[in-house]
This record gives sequence, C-alpha cells and structure tokens, in this order.
Amino acid sequence: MTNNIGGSAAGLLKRAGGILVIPAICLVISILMCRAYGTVLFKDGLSMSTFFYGLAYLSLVAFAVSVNLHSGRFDFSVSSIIILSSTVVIMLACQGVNSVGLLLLAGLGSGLLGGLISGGLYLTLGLPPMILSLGVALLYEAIAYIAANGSESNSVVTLQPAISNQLKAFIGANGNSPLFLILILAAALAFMVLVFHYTKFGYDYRALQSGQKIAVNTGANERVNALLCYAIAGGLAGLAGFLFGCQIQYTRVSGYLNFGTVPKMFDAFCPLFFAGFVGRFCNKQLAIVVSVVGYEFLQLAFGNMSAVNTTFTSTIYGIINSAILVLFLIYLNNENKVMELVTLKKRRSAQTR
Amino acid sequence: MEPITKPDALREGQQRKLRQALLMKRLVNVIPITGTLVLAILFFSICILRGYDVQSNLEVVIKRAMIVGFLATGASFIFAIGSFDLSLGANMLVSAALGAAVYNWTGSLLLMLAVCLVVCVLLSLLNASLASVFNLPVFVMTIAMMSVFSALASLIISNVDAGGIDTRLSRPSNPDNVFYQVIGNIWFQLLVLAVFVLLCGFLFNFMKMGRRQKFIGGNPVCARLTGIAPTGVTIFSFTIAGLGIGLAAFFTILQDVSISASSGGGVGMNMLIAIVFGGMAISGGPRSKALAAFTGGFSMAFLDQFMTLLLLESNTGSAVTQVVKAVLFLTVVTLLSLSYRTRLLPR
Repeated sequence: MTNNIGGSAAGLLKRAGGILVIPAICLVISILMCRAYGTVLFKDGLSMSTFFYGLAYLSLVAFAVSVNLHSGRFDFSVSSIIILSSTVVIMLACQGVNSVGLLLLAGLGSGLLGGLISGGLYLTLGLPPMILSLGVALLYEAIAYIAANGSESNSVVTLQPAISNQLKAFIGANGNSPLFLILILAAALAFMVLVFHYTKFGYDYRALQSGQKIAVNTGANERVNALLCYAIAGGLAGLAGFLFGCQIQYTRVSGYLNFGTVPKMFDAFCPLFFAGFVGRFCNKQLAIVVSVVGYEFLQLAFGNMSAVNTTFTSTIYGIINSAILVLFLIYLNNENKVMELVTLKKRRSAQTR
Repeated sequence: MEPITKPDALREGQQRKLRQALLMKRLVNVIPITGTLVLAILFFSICILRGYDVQSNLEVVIKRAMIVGFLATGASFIFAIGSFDLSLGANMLVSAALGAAVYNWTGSLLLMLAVCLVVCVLLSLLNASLASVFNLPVFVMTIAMMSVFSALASLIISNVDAGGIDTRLSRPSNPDNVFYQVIGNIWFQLLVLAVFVLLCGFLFNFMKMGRRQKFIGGNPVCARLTGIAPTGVTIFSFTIAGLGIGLAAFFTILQDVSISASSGGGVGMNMLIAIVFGGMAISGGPRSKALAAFTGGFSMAFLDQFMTLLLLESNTGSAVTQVVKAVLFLTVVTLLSLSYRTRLLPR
C-alpha cells in the first residue's frame, strides 16, 4: 500500500498527512485541554525535559515490545528486563561507577543478556512465548530484588551525589539539554530501520511474520531469527531501563515482585495501536516514534492539568488513557465499516437532494 | 515357531511406540497432582520439623489458594474455548470495590455477594461482546480492558476513601458478625471453593456444554460446521468465569476486610500460572481441565508457604521463593508440553 501511495505529489502529501495526523490531533487536543485548565502545554524547561524523557523512554519500550509482538510472540519479560537493568545501573552507580557511558553500556549489556537468555530458553524449551515469558518475568524480577539485596535504600542521590547529578543532566532533568535523549532515540530508530529493512535478518523476520511455515520451508533460519529478536528486544529494554534508572535513582524493587513489573510495558500499548494506523504511511519503526510523540503530548497535558487542578488526578487521566486506547482499537478494527457508514450517508443525502 | 515377517515387525514397532506414547501421556497427566502432593509433604514436614503451628500455616495456604482457585477455575472456561482474558484480575478488583462500598452503604452481606457476582458477570460479558461485536482481537482487547478496569477500580476506591475502602465487617458491633463468623471462616470458604470446583468439573466433563467448549477450543471451524453455535457457548463460558471472579471478589473482601487499589495484585497473572501448573494448556481445546486451576493454585500456595518458612530469616526470602517458583513452573510446563511438540517454533 505504501508503494502505491508514493510517487505523485498528492500521494506524498497524503502520506505526510497520514503520518502527522495523530500527533497533530493530540497536540491540538492537548493545547485546548491545557487552555481550559488555565495552563499551557510547554510552560518551562521541566515540561521540555519531561516530554523528551517520556518520548525517548516510551519509544524504546514500544520498540522492545513490538519486536516480538509483531511476530506473534507476546513477551511479558520485557518490563522485567527494564527493571533488572535499571537495578544494575543504580547499584553500579551507588558503588561509585562514575562514567555515564559505562553505566549506559551496563544497562544495554544487562538487557541484551536478559534478552539472549530469554530467547535461548524459548529455543531450548520450545514453550509458547507467553507462557515462557511468565516464568522468565518472575525470574528477572527476583534477580533484580536479590541484586538490590531487597533494599530500597540504595539511593544514588544520597550515596553518590556527583554521579546523581551527571545522570540527571544526561536525561535533561532540571532544565538541562535533552540532547543525549534525542541522540539515543535517533540511534535506536536508525538501528531499527536499518536492521529490519536493510538486512537479511529483517527480510527473514518479515517473511516469518507473514508465513512461518513457508518461510521456514524456503530457507529462513527461524531459530537464529527468533534469538536475535529476543536479543534486540532485550537490548532496547535495557536502554529503557538505563533511562528509568537515571530518572528514579534508587532501587525500587519490592513493588515489582510477583508480576509487579508487567504494567510497565502496558504504557506502550496505546502508542503501538496508534502506530498501527500511522504505519500505513511509513515504516513501522518511524510510526512508533511518531505515535509516541502524540501520546506524550497528551501525557504532558494531563500532568500540567493535574498540577493546576488537584481534582484532575492520575486516576482520571488513567481512565481517559484507557478510553482512548479502547476507542482507537475499535476504530482501527472497524475502519471499513465506519467508512461504509459515512459513504452510505453521503450517498443517501445525495439521492434525497 | 513362525518367523517374524517384516510387516509384523513393523506393526509391533508401531504398537510399541503407541504404548510408549500412552505411557508418556499417563505419566504427564499425573505430574500436576504428584507435584501438589510433594509440595504438600514438604510443607507439612517443615512445619513439623521446625515446630511451626500447622493449623495457622495451613490456613495461610488455603487463603493463598482460595482467590486464585476461584478466579482460575472460572477462567478455565474462557481458555477452554480458545479465548483469552488478561483483565480478570482487574475485573475482580472493580467488583470487590463496588461490593465493599455497597456493604458499607447497606450493611447487607447478601447484597455485597450479589453485587460482586453481577458486576463480574457483566464485565466479563462486556469483554466477550466487545470482542465479537466490534471484531477486536481478544488478547489485545483484554489488555485494553485491563487498563480500563484498573483505572475504574482506582476511581471507585479513591471516591469512597482515598486510602482504600474499609468495610464494617471486622467491627464487633457489626450486626452481621454472626454470619461473618461463619462465612469468614477459612474452612467454610474452602468448602465453597470445593463445591464450585466440583460443579465446574461436572459441567466440564459430564455436560454437553463442556464437550462443546472443548470442541470449539480445539477446532472452531469444525465445531461450527457440525452445528455448534459459538455465541451461546462463549456467553456461557464468560458467565461461568464471571461467577468465579465474583466469588473471588467476595472472598477477597471477607479475607482482607478492606479493599485498596493494590488488593489482589498480580492475581490475574498468578491465575495463568495456576492453570498451567495444574496441567491445562492455555490454548484450550480437548486438553482443558476444570480441576487444573484448583490443583495448580494449591501447588503454588504450598510452595510459597514452604519457602516462606524455609527462608524466614533471609532478607531476600521472597525473591528466592520467586526464583524457585519460576524454575519449577518452567520445568513443569516443559514436562507437560513434551507430548505435543511441533517442528516450527510455537507462537
């Protein structure tokens, strides 16, 4: 479909419109909501850093979830990898590792390792991914807890104030430049586009996605492909965990036992559904980032609104978020019916005239 | 003695393979119940050897298994037809919050039970109809509905009392105290669970509806072609699941006396673990078992309590327990899946 649209100027315009429609609608709604509550969307440097942090973090989580999800594998362990790698980063920072680069590598490495182990278990045990990931999620949550020695008092802020400031500066907190967040996001996006669209791995991935049996029969190495998918998802989740660690800066582990981590990945579902629509006009990876931009406009607006009006609580915007999610899902799956209804009405009104 | 001809040898080889497969299947079938028994023996052994009070610890085990047992037994009916619902834990929380609020408002235990059951059945049917009317992918839809229900439960709880809904159940002046003494008793609750599980087992194994469910779960196209209407079976399955969730919500209120946004945390996922631990495939179909959730729920509860007692002094006891649970879960599931492996990777 994307190829059909491309070419003519009208096609390009339609394509650009399709890509930008969701963030544009979200931006307009966010501005209007903020205005109704007597505030503005981007009021200060803090709003900017919140927006860019949310954009980079959620894009990474959405990428990580999408890698296996688009192949029909649902992986609960992504969110537990986020918590595990954030715990590794925080523990290292608490012990005096004062290089942000090294901490980033530690987050990425632990995520990658987590993903590889998860993928290795998938290949070895041959269990359905959802069932397997339940066990793996339990395992990683517990390992994170043990790594932090069950304590929530491993705080970078109190134990290593200098490193804490470096980490805050890295994620653009307190009015610092969000440059590193933008760089991480750009690198992740470039990596995803390159790997999934310009390599044999990506070709096999898409072949397996649309016809597992045919792809395997025609020579796609399913096992290597699946292992790499898990490793990529783990690495991206590890990066997200690094950003999360930079933000919270203490080992928040007790609330994450017994599947406490799972809701963390559900934040990425609304942008992923948006991406289902945007993805008709561009590649899936860009669609995810564009959708997260729109979603983050709404989140920022909700945050600003609750700051000026205490009755607008996180519970209320949780309900609004969920309602958007369900309504969008209904629209996405019934688009043809909606279009049929609209064209039928138009035809009827033309006939009566 | 006649010489063994080639076809005879072939037939004998095939029969041997068949016998081995049957033996393997029988062995696999006894894994869940054997696991429960082994864990129960371990639990009782540690209680006796270390001098812990068996009665109070057993009550903890039952309490832990109860909620997951009700929820997962009801949910088995959804999984049996090849459907899926991740929002059951959140559904339970909404109805528990409403039930607790209604009890505080009216002081009637019967009304609280009715609210819990009706709300759960309605929410469960809402999920079923959303999936069929709007043609939504069930898995994704239940994730979305999980967010809706969780937010709704938080809204109800925060509107009644920000800190959680504290029911009047535990107050000595409570006029319902006589009834509460009976239905709040853990053994009575276990009896109710046993009756519910047996009823579900009967429905599942001896009624036409149970066979239809398994048929639809195993091969929906074939089931439809033989005249089984999936709509009726789906409504029935989600209704039974709703009843199970409703009872879980009711007993959550009775056990905890108060309801907060974190009540029943992780119960939705633990339900999946219990079902699989009990030997039922989440994909449903002919391998579905109504008693799986009960067995699995008790296995988990015995394991949790055994590990808690074993690692009482440890700082990271709960995490080590979780590691053991995860490893055991993966081992059991791998053993159970040995008889139905495919050449392609499962999805």
